[in-house]
Amino acid sequence: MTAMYMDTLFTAVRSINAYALRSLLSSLGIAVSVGAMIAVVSVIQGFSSKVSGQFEGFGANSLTIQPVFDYQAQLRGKYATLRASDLDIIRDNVQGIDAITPEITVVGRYSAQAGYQGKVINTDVRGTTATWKELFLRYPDKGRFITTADDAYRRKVAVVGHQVVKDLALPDDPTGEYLQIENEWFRIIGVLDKRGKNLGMNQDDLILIPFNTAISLTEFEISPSFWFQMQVLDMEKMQAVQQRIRMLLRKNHGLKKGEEDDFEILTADQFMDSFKSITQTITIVLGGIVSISMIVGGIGIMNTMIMSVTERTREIGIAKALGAPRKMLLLQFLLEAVILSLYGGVTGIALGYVLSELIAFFAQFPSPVIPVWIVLFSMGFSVVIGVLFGFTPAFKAANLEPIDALKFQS
Amino acid sequence: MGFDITRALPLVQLQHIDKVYDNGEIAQKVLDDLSLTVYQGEYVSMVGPSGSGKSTLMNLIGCLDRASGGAYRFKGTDVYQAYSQEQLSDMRLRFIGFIFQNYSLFPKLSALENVMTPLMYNQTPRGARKAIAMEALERVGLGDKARNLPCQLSGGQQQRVAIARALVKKPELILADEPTGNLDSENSAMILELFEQLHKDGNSLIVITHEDQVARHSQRMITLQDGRVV
Repeated sequence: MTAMYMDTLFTAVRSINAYALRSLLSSLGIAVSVGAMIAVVSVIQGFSSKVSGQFEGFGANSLTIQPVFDYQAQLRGKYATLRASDLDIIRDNVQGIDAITPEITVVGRYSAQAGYQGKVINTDVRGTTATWKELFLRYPDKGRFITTADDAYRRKVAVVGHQVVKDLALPDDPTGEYLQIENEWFRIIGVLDKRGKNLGMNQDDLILIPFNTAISLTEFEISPSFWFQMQVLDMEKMQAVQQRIRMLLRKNHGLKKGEEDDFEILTADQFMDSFKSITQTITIVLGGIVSISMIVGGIGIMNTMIMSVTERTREIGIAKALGAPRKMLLLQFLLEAVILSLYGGVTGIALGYVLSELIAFFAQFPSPVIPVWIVLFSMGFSVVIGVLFGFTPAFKAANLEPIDALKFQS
Repeated sequence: MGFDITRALPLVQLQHIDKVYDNGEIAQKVLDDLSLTVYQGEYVSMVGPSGSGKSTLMNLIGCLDRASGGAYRFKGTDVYQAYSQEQLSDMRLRFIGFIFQNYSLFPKLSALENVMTPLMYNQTPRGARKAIAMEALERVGLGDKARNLPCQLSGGQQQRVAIARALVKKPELILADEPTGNLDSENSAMILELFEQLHKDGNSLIVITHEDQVARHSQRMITLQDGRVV
């Protein structure tokens, strides 16, 4: 019995090879759609894994508190709802937390300007404290990081990213050099480690200065972009800590019962969950669209197979006259369709791989990740398409009457 | 010749066979109450003008088609009562070797592969096929053309490959429909010589032809006219 399947398989492969060009063309539809599917999914997965990696560095036990303000509030000039006093209240009244770190974006009238020897750039200047490096696991390559004393004495010191070093044409080791931020002079004390781009954001294009120095520099007393982060020492207490912080902040902000929170407490898990659900939705929607093109590819294969059966009617007649079992003919044509479809699938996987690398290279996306499931899915889908669209032609071949088939003139 | 009708068993027995082609508008009776017996080991030729029902008869004997009425026994078994469409196919596979006027080889397979196909259909063990097919090819004198495609062979050679393909499964009956119809006299002679050899080896042959030249080589000549044996 197995021998029969082997024979049929060989026969199917032979006849596909005998019509190589036509086989190639008919499997092209499947190849293109599988390629598109693989490329789309692997680029998205590349993004996803990169971002997930970032969040993991961030730590699952971290909490972020950020301001919430609606459009109405903004029109009234109410930009931010978090204030420096919130930080002190949390630090003094919540137990089981560590590395509570504020971050504030320093803005001039429009954006922060930094200058060095006549060169001026716009960059991201943030005020923070010594614990920032532990929260984000980023440490200086050269020199040192901001210390508690820098913050306490509002020292005008700065830690710069690699992009800033490049853009301002600072010396290779710029520690000890002075640069200008919003018309104030800052001494460079360190250079942050290199991270590259994430989601189009250059993580090396920033300058960090002590938090209190930043507060004194900003024109708004309460900055719209002020938030803080902390680590919760015991994951078990995550919920309790969140509740305690919420209570303290509501009290400090003077919110009455029934009023909405004007802040948001987020965990890294929440960030990741919402990100994952977004990428999942995109993957499914795009994958679905591409699946439809697979069906179009399948119709192409059916077309070729029907043509091929008609063309080989005489041959089928001879085979039938010689006593070829009906099952064998049915299987042979079905296998031909499946193999064509699989050829397309395999070519498509290779195509998708190349395509995704090209997209990532030219669009400067994170390097794509091809998940195993999408490879298996496209192979499986190719087989299903082959069987589905191979049935009609295979039945047509197997059900031919031998005398009619023998009389057929092509 | 070694044929003794008193000792031979009937191989093909047709009794009161009718065949009507009905296309819905006109019914055309091609075979009319035809009865005929061919014994094992016989070399029979069927002659008759075109339209006399020769090819229809061959299709019936070869289990490619069914009669409209009457009974057909092959080796004593009632073909139409016992056999479904699929079993008819199996009968062809096991008992009958076909030779067609236009050779009917698979164009994309080599001579050897063409001869091997019946062995694939009847599931001869894979390892044994090549040797058996090669033996058949050598028997028709084409051992050296095994790798050639049909298009690389002359008509006579193609027909000999077809004969090898019919012989390879050792059929009970060899059915040839105008086997020399497309061949010149030299090649025809070679084919007929081969048939005589096959007959001497004990094979049963039925050859359909309209050439007396060909029919004369057989043991018995059956003449058809208007769907009847005359």
